[in-house]
Amino acid sequence: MKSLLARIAAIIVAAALVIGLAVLYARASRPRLRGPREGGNPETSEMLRRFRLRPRGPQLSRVGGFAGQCVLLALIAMGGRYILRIRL
Amino acid sequence: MPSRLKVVFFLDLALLISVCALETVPFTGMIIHEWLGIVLALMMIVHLLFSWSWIASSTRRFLTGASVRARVNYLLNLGLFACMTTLIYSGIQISQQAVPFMTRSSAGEPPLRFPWGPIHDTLSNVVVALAGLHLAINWEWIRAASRKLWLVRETS
Repeated sequence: MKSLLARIAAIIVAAALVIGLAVLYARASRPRLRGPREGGNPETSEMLRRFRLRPRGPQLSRVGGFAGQCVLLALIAMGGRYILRIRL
Repeated sequence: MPSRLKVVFFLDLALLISVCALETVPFTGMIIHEWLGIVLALMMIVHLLFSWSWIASSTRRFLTGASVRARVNYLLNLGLFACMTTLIYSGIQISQQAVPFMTRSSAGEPPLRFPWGPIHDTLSNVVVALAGLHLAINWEWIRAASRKLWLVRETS
């Protein structure tokens, strides 16, 4: 039990390190869009809201998108296996 | 009681299907996307705990006497961990449904101070590539595990 907790703690510490680096990167990057509260364009938040609520598209296209991701992942895996066989 | 192999195999399969589903937001819709992302984070922790002996031994061997393949595998897994962690964190930052529900706060406007949205989008593509390579490098294990599981089923 103690070792399990230690392992979980190690994973959390590693994740915190990564997140810390990501936050540093995000702070260093300039914001691309600013909402009205930050003194940006008042239409920005409306545009983002519309983007989030965009229609999901027809059923076939949605299932096709999921299948496409599976195929893409399989293709990358096959390509990776090919490289591994040749190089490593 | 299911065997450890069975649990690990089906957990990994669930992770794989979840990654594919999470990559296509129109397929799941935003609400399922956000909740599935949180479940994925938990599955990832369990996946890491199951692989702990490999992580510990590979970390020790990485600087001393590991083969090129083992080093590539280690760096690939490290990259995948970093990308997944940042992906999940950025997802939490831009969450509009799941995180506000859990923290009992209003979602409000999407946080625009830091560019988490573009980071989330970019990393999701990187994760697909790394997950594909992760599959490739562990292909022999997947084959052996599925054979073992299927053989056990056929004989029992």
